[in-house]
Amino acid sequence: MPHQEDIRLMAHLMRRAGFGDTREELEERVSKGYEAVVEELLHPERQPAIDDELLYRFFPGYEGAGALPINQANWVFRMVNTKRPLEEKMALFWHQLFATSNSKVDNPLELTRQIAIFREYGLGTYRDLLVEVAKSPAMIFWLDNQGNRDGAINENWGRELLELFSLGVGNYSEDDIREAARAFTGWTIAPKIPRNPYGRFHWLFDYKPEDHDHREKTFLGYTGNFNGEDIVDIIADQPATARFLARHLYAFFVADEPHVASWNVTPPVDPEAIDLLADAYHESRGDIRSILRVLFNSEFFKNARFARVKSPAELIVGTVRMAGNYKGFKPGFNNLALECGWQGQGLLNPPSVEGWHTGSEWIDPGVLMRRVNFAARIFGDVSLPGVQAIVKRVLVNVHVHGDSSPQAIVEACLDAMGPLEVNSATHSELIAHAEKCGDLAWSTPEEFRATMRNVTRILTLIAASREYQFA
Amino acid sequence: MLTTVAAGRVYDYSYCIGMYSQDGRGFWAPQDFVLGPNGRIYVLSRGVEQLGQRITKINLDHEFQGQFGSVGEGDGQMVWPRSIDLDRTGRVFVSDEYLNRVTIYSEEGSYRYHWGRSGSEDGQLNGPSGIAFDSQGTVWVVDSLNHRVQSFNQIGEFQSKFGKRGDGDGDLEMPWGICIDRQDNIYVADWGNNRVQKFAPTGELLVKFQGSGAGVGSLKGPSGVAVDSDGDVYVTDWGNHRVQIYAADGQYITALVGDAQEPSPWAQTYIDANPDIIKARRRTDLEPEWRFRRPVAVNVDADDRIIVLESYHHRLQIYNKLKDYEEPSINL
Amino acid sequence: MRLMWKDMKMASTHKDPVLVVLELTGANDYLNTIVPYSNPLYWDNRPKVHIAEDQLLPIDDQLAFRADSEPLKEIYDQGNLAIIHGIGFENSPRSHFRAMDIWHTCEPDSIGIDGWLAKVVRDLDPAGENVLKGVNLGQGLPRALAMKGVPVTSVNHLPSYGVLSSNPGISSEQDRIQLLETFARMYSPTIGAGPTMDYLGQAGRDALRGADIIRVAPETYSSNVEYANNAIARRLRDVAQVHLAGLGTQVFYTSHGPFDTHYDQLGPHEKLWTEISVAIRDFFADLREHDASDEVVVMLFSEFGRRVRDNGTGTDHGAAGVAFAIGDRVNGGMYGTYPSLKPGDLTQGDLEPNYDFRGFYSTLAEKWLGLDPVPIVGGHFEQMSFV
Repeated sequence: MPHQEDIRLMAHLMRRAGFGDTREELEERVSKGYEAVVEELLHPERQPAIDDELLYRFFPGYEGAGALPINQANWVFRMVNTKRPLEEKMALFWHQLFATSNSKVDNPLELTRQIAIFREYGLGTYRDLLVEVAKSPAMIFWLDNQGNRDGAINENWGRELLELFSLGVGNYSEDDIREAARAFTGWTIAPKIPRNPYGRFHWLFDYKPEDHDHREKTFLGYTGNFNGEDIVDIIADQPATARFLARHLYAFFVADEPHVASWNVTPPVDPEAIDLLADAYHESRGDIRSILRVLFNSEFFKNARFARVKSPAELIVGTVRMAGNYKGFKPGFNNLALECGWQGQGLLNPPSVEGWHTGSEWIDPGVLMRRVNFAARIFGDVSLPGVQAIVKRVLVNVHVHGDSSPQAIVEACLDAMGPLEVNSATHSELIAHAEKCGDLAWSTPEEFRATMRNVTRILTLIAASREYQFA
Repeated sequence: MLTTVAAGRVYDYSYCIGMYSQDGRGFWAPQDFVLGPNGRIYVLSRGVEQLGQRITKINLDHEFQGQFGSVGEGDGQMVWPRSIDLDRTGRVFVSDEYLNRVTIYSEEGSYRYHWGRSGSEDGQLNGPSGIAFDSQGTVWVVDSLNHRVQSFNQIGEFQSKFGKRGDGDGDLEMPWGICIDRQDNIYVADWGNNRVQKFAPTGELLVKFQGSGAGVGSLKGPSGVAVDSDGDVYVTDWGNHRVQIYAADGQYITALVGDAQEPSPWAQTYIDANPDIIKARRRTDLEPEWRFRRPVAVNVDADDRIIVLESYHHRLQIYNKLKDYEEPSINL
Repeated sequence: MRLMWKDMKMASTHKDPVLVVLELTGANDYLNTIVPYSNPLYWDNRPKVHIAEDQLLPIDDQLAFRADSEPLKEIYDQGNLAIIHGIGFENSPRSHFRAMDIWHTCEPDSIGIDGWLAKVVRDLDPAGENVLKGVNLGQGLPRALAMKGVPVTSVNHLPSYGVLSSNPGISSEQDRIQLLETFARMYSPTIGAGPTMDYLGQAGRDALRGADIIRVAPETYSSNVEYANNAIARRLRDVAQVHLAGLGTQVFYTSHGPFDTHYDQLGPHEKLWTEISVAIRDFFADLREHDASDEVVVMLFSEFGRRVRDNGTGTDHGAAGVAFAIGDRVNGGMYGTYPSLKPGDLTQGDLEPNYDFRGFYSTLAEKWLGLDPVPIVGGHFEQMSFV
């Protein structure tokens, strides 16, 4: 039997670096050791990818889909079924950072392709990723760079590149924005076949030398005849970029931070952690994988359990992964995707280039009701394989220890659903409820059914608790 | 090329039918089609999630004659429809990979009955995909997730089976489409093994279609298969976006890659109504549009016309196999 | 633990003006809603997708309602329906998403965050005392009602609205009450739990309280009006129930569709307009039965109209559209002018908008709700006199 503390730590790692694991999966991982699991997560290429050919055989309408919910569903399918949890989690991280929205792009297929960039480059160097993002047709259109030409500078991409994608406010001048924008003149989208009547066709990046401003630029103190990639090279070497990215990683993987818009006036929650991550950035020359290795192995990460409010995608995907009701190919992933939107995180459709407001800002009374009802409905459904597995584990646990007291049952439920930790007030409410249910018994089918129902109700209450809202 | 000449055969592109449409005139992620009497074509749309599943009735002259079927698990409804065929009386049989059943409709689309149970025992189904009738009226069903082919009578009583999971001769790996020739031999698109295998009705392996070792004539995830009156075999090479053509003995002949340079009349009407789309189309290379993308099913009609259905482009492309072709002057 | 609705602070009296917004999602075909039947260009451009001559209800010698919207024609003839022609905005994008965002935020030139109706709600209830001041009937929250710090309520299905509703693990109402009691205690203030836990506790208690208040609406409602059995009829009945319960709601939002009729337009479009017209007639009949129609105006809008020329079975994305305002206090009639169908006057084959939608909003905000429209719509726009 693995040590309970190891299981708790592994559950924490998998909630953060993935979308949570079942109790059985956690035990398997613990047997490999924490650092080995971190390494495994950091190398998604060592696990099989989602087989696109298989996916599109079963879901032919997902390939080249024009509808936003179907493109969202394509992603949710991957989040739920991936064998590469960190790859998918990083895609979500980069989507939050490089927030590009269908509300303007109106081409969800191109946003799906941008997410694929995050999968492919999301654990490489920040420099390479920035170049790919700069060439992403969805990003070009989102920030108007197709209109950025020599003699007609459009600063939108240049501005957001510095403000929201690298340095952060206060670390550049208005001149730097203009010079960066000049360097990206001519980075545009090739004319494409319009959508329909024969489906959708991809946008392609196009560099038009005749639209590029070939004159000298001065950017952050460097002078030269810069093109876009030169600007990215300079940006990627800036200490401000290292700190900016460190803070984003901290907010996403460690603990809630205030929204990015206030970072120039609000200091980090844990400045030492940011220093450590920024150092890792410098030492690795911006290698994301190396920074995350430091992060996941750090004490501040290991100690930050339940320090973040789950995003809707984390809540929804984590819940159905646990319940096992969306394993493999089946209809209905679009319903999960829509639910994300109704809880305030319409994937591929963030509210603005600043991404979603996270932490407690995910929550208002209406959204909380949705989140509670969603998770409670799933854990209340004993027909689902994962819920059955949890109930079974609870009953086995109770049986093995010969202790069917309300305390033992609640402990077993919290353990099987996580392990989760709840504060003492919640704990005593759960026990008070368990007491009302009476003893567990299973000598007759009626008793067994009543026992299943009683355990399911405790699971329902745990899913409805405040604590379940935290990752 | 609009005209492909190879090994004494001539394939001449003719025209295309259809366009994308979530409902009504047009198709959505179509998976299969079948040719009926009087030029009637039934096209089976898979749609996506809870939208678009239907059978569209059209003819070779672009006439939209109505549709039937809808999404759901009730009688006459479908969730993941995959394959369609007609019995000798013209009734329409449709397989559903999710519901593990075959639904039977009248010629015009009234629901009649359905059969099929989930499982892996004899006569049970797990992901029924391709279906086809032999000359005796037996219906052969590719039971794809059980990696086998089973035959049934028309009310769904189990008759026989062959195939098991594997990559050896005669084995199957998630087989997909199927067709039956005039001698009642059975051709199975062995999707996961990148080949088509031809079986006698007894299940005995006769020929493998997979090209040479050097990659010539190879297949990647074949989806559908058809045979013409000369015995030539057409395979929709779904993963490579082409149609591979083989002689009866498995010898590779050539490929078709799609030639729909002229939009169908339905599509042209759509384009004509949208000035912006006309403009955009004039500014770009349209070749990706006229080439095959996800060819998923192929049929050969009585005149040896080869008709190919594309899932991604929601369209049928029609080629003639010319028997009396004369070479153009070489010195033109 | 259950709070009674009378505990709620009533921020308004029964007769405060109420605005019901009905979004026609997916871009409604203007030309086939108010049909320019005497214009030969209509028939030229719509060889397939037109309203047959025997299916027209003429308004005058140029324009007609479609026969399936006869209930609306009746309201029009009673003088209680205003038709706002040519509505939209300059450089109308043909994208649903972008156009809908613009209608919702009044920000045609940048990505807007705050919804115009959220600003209306804020100005109607500056202290944010009534979480039911603005109510959406539907899933999630439309951007029009979204704004940080403005509490509004979204109800998908009024009869089953509430915490732990429709749960397969809960077999009886008694069960549910028991679980809700535990839920309420789990969300009660806990010393030393930290600000986020405190915040979640407050949100959970507010959710319970809001659900308890709104539960009164279906419980106290009775009516002789039998609504049809379709989505928009159910939504408008939910609106009527909440309105008649006197919970202080002044802004309702709901939507119906899909109007995105690229394919096979005629049948589905007829079905949509039949459903909407009948639902609106029944809604007002219901309110009148309860002497509560005077204070209600319903507005209908869509993100844009559809292309002038049909595509064989449907129509594609266009620009200018039509909006309606309906209510006992509405000055019925036609406002603005129908945009020209002449080829030279079209933009990309579309009717050019000639009236900015923000003028329509301004009219409703100022003349109906009594608010300063400038901060709501972001400027001064030409108002109309339909209220």
